[in-house]
Amino acid sequence: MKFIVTPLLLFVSFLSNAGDIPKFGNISRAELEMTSCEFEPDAVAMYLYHNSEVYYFENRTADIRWLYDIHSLYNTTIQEVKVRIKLFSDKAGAYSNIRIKYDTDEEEMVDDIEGSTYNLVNGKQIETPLRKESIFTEDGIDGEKTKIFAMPEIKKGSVIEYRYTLKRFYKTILPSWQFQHQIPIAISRHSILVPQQFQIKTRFLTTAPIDKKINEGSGSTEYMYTMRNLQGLKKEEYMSSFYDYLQSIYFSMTQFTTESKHNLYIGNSWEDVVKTIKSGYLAPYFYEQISQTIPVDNAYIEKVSSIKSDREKMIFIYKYVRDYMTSNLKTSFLTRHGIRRAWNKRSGSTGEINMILISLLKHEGLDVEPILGSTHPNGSINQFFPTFYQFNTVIAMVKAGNESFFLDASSKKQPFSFISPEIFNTTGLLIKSKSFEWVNISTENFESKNSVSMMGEINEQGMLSGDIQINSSNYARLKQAQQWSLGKEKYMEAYSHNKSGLTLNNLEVENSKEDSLPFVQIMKFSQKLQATESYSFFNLNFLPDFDENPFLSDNRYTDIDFDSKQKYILRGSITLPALYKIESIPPDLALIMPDTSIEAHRMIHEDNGVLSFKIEIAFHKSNFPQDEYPVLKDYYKKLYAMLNDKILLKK
Amino acid sequence: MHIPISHLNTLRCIICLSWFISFSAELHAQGLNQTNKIEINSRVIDEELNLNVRDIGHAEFEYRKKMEVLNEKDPSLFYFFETSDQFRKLSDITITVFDSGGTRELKTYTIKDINEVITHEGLVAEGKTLYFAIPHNQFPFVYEIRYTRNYNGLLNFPTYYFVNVNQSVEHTSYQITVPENLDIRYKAYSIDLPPTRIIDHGKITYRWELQHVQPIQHEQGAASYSRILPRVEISPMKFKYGQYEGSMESWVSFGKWYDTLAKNEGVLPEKYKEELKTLVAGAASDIEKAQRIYDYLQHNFRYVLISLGIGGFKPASAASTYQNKYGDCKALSNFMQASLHEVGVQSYQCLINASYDQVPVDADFPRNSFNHVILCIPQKKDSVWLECTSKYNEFGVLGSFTENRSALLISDKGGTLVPTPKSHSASNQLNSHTTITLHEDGSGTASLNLQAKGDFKSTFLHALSESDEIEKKNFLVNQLKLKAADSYQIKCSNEDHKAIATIELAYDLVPEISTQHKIFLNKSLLGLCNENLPLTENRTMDFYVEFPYQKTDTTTYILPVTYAPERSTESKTISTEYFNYDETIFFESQISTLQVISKLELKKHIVRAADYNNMLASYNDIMEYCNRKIIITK
Repeated sequence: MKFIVTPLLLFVSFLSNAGDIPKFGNISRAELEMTSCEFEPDAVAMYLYHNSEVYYFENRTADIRWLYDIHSLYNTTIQEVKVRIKLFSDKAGAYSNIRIKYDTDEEEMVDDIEGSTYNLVNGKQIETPLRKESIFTEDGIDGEKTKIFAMPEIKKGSVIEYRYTLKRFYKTILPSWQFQHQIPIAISRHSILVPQQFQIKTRFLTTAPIDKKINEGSGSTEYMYTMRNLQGLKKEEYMSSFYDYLQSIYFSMTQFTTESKHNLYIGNSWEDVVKTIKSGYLAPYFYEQISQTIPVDNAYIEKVSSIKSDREKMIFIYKYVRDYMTSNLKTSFLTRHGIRRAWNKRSGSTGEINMILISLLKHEGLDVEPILGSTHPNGSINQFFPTFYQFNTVIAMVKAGNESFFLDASSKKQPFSFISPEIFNTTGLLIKSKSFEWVNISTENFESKNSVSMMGEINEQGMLSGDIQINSSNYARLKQAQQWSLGKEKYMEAYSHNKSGLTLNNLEVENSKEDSLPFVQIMKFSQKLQATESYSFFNLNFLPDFDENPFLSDNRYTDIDFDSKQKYILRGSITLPALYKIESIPPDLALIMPDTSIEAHRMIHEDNGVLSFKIEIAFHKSNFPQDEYPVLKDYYKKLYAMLNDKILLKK
Repeated sequence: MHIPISHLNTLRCIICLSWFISFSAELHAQGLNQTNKIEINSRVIDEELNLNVRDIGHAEFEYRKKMEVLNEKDPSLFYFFETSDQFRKLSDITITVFDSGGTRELKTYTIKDINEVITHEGLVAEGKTLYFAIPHNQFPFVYEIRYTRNYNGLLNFPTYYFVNVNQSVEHTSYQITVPENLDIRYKAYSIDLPPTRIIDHGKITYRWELQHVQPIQHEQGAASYSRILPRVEISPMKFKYGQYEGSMESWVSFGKWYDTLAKNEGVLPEKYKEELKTLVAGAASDIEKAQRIYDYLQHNFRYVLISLGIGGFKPASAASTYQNKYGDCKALSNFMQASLHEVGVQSYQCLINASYDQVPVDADFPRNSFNHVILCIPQKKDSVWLECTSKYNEFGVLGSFTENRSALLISDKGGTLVPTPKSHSASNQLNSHTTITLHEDGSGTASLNLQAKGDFKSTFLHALSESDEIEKKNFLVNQLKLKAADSYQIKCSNEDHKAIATIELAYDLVPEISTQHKIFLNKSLLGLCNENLPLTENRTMDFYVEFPYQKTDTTTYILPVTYAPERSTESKTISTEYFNYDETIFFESQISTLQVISKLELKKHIVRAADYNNMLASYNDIMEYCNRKIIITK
C-alpha cells in the first residue's frame, strides 16, 4: 500500500517533543537505581511512562467505497505506542512478557516492534536489545492475532522499554486510552492528532488530575491528555468491573466536513446511536434480526398455539429458548452470522439467544422490546456519552397484563423472570419501535435469601449432630445450585470450609428443576465439639458464605457490589445432654450499620436443656460506595466476631 | 470391531496371541473401588477407537463414542473439548444429539458449529482448542461424538482409557493397525486384557474390546487419575516426531532419541565462557562450581514457556537462552548442563513426570509420560539434583514437584531410569515463635517470627515477599490460619536457606472466650493443624500427601500479673505411623509468662489406603488437642 504523505504527517513531529516523556532509549541512571515506587512502595513493578500517539494517513490510492464516508479520506489510523517499565521484584517477570493483540479481519496490523532491557551491572548501564527472532505471532480465532515477546535479560532492577505501531487500515478510529494499570504509572499520555474536518466528543472516566492540552495546527488539532503518578488498580473482593474504575478516556466522532464543505453528521446523541442500530449499518446485525422468523418445529407451534394467556405463552417460550439453546460463552449485542444460524446450531452468544427469544415472542404478538445492556464485568453505561460500544448484551422486556418482565434466556440455570446477576441493577437502553428510553434493570425488593434450619443434639461424648436444611432463593438459589452442580464433594467442601470439624452426609436436594421454588439442600451433620478439660464450646456459624472475612484490606479503591440485597437466616435448636450445663452463651445482640443498610440480630436462649437460636443478617442495599469501606470493614469485623462467638458448656 | 471366527481362515498369516472379549470386565487393580453402590453420572453406550498407523510418522485416529449423561453432576460431560495443532490435527467432527432413548437423532453438528479458542499455558504455543456446548434440556440425554485426528509425528499412541470415574460402560473397543515393520508395544494396567492380533497384507491389527465395565469411585487425594485408571498403554516401537526418528523399544533407545534432539544445543557463547571462568574461579570443588552457577542461574534467568513446533520437546540452544536470559525447563536445564560442562562438571538432563501426585513411570514399559526436565550431577553417593526453573529452590533440592519417583537420565548412551531423592519431614519446616502481651481488657500485641524451609519456603516467599498488603494478609489468615488481627506490620526476607517473616500484630481481643472469672486462650495464634483431609468411606486408593513436614510453634503469653492458668504445666505426646505430635505447656508465675511449645510432624508422602481411616482418626485427635484452649483464671 502506498501512502501519500500529507501535512498531517509533518504535524506529527511535535507530538514526540512533549518534554517529560523521555526519548526512547534514553534511560537515566536514576531509573536504573530506583528500588521502589515512591507513591506505591509495595508495587513489584511500575510504568515509568506509557505514551500513545494517534494520527491518520490519507491513502488516496485505496478504493473509495463510500463517497462521503470519512473512511474514504483519512483511512488509516496509526497508533504509536511506547512503554517503559521498571521491575522492582523477582515477581515482576510477568510485566516483561508482552502480548499485543490485533485483528486482521478488521484490517489491523502491528509492526515496528523494538525494545531493549537495561540493567546496571557493576555501575555500568548495559543494554540488551530484543531480538527480532524472539518476537512471535500467535494466530487466534477469526483473524485475531497476537504479537508475543519476552524481554531479554530480566532481573530485579531491570528497566524495559519497547515500542510498536498499530495500524488500522480503512478506519478512522479514535482509540480509547486507559491511563491506569494494575501496577502504578508515573506518566501516561495519549495524544491524538485530529484533522480539522472532524468534530469529536470526549468522555473522561477520571477522578485524578488530568492535564489537557489542545494545540491548533495547520489543518489539524492535537489533543494531548496526561495523567501522572497513578496507583495500580488491583482486583478487589466484590468489585464490579475494572472498566468502571480505570482512569480512562473515550472518544466519539460527531461530525465530519468533507472536502466539498458538506457536513456529514455522524452522531452526537443517543437518537443517532439508536438510528444507527435500527436502520443504519448495524441494523442487519441486530434490529433486523429480531424480526427474523425462527424455524421452529411443529411441536412448538402446536404447543404455543394451545396456550391462551400471554403470560403463560411468555413463560413457555422463555423456557423453550432457554432449554433449547446453549450459550457459547460469548457476550455480544450483535450477531455476526445471524440468529437463524445460531438457532440451527442450538448455540449462540448471550445476545443471539435473547434475540431469538425476542423474535419468537414478537411472532406470537407479545409486547416485547429489546434492551441493550452492559454486564457488570463490561462496566457501567455512561448516558452522557452516546456510543454503542458501551453495550455488550441484549435482554428482552415483555409487558404482559399490568406487569413488566426482564427476560434473559442465555443461562440454563436462570429461572423465569430472573434477572441475571451479571446485569442486575444496571441501566439498559430499551429500544421501542418509535422511541427509546433508559430503564433500570432491577426488580423492587429482589433479594438473595438463604434460610438455614438446624436441629441438633449433643451427646455425652461431645458430638453435635443433627439435620440441616438450607432453602436458597433468587441469587442464593443460583449460587447454591451452581455449587451443587459441581458435585457433592465440592459442595461439602465449600459449605464446611472454616467450620472446624464439620462433617456432612446424606446430602440431598429438592426443587433442582422447579426454578420458581427455593433450592432446598438437606443434610445430616456432625461436629465434634472443641473441648478443654470439663469445658466444651462451639459456635453457630452454620450460614453459607460467611467462612472468611473478605474485607481484610486497610484500603479500598472501588465500590463494593454485592449484586443484590441479601438475607441470611439461621434458626434452630440444640438439645444438650443432662451431663452438660451452659457456662456462658453469647448475649442477644443487634449489629446495625450506622445508615441501617445492614442489620444483624442474634438471639440465643436456653430452656430446660434446649438451646434455641436465631441469627438474621439483612443487607438492605447491594452497593456500598468506596468511601463507606472503613465503616463496612469495621462492621464485618464485628459481624464475624458475632458469628464466631462461642457457646461454652461445662460438664 | 470383533472379527468373527468364520472369517479368520481367510486371513493370511494370522498370529493370534489371544482371542479375548472381556464380558463383565473384572478390574483387578488395588485401589479401584468397584461396588454397585458407586454413583454413576454417565454411561458409555458404545465406543469405538480406531488408530491406523500409515508410516513411522503418520496415523489417523478415528474416534466414536455414544454416551448417555445421567445427571448434571459432571459438567465436563456437557462439552466437547479437544485440542488441535500441526502434529495432531482434528477433522471430520460430528456431534449427534439423540432423544433420551438414544435411538432417534435430533440434530447433528459439524465443524462449522464448533467454537475455537486459544488455550495454553506459557507465553506462546501452537494449536487451538475446539469446544462445543452439547445442547440438552433434560437428563438423561444421549449424544455421540465422532472425529478424526491426523497425526503428523508420532511419539505416543493414544492410551485406551475405557472407563472413567463414576461411569459405566456397555461396550468399548480399540483397534490399532500398523505396518508389519512398525509393530507396537502395549501394556494393560489394572485389568487382564490381552488383545487380538492379526497379520494381514503386511499389516498387524490389534484389538481390545470390553463390555459391561463397572464404574470406579472417585476418591479425593488419590494419585493422578491418568496414571491409576484401568487402561491399556500403547507405544510405538519406532517413531518419528518432527524430523527425528527414534525407537521406544527401551528406555535406552528413547533416551538416545532425546539426546539427539538436545545434543547440538549446548554450545555456549565465548563471552559467557569467559564469565564462567570468573564465576567459578577459586571454587574448591565441582559441587561448589555447580552451586555458584546455579545461584547465577536463579538470579539472572527466568522461566518462560515457549512451545512451538518440535520446540515442545527440543530445548532452545544454550546460546539463545544465554542471550534471552529466559527459557522453559528444557532450555534452562540444557543451559545449566552446558555451563557445568564448560567448567568440567558432568551433568545429565533428566525427563520426569512432574507434580506431587504422579506415580513413578513404569520401568518395564518405556513410553513418553514425561512433562518436565531437571538436571542431575552424579556423585559417588547421593547425586545432586537441580530444578532449573525455580528461583526459590535450594541448591540440590527438588521439592514435591519431582521428588520420590523415577527420572529418565539422558546421555549419549541413551536413557536410564534413576530414582530422584525423597525429602523427609525435617526437609520441610515451618517454625513460628510468637510473643503475645495480653492486657486486662483483653487486647494485646504480638510479635511473630516465622521461618520456612524446603517446600514451605517457595509458597511462603511467593505470598509474603514483595507482595501487596492484601496478598500477605490473605496468606496469613486464610492459609496459615492466623487469628485475624486489627493491625499488621509484615516483613519478609530470604536468608540462609530459609524464608523469614517478622510480623507485628495488634488485637482488640485476644481471648477466644471470656467469662466473668476466666478467659480461654488459643495455644497458638496460628493454626498448626490445618490439613483438610477428606472423609472417604471404604477407601481403596492410596492418599498422596504433597510433602512430609515438621511444624513447630512456640507461643509465649505475657499475662497481666493477676492472671494465672488453671494448670501450670502440661504435656502431651501422640505418636502414630504417620504423625507425631508433642506439646508442652508451662507457666512461670514470677514473670507471669505462659509458654506453649508444639511440634507436629507428618512423616510420609503416601498414606496406604488401608491405613487411611486410622490416619484420619489420629489426625482428628491431634487437631482436637491442638484446638483445646488454655484456661486462665483472672
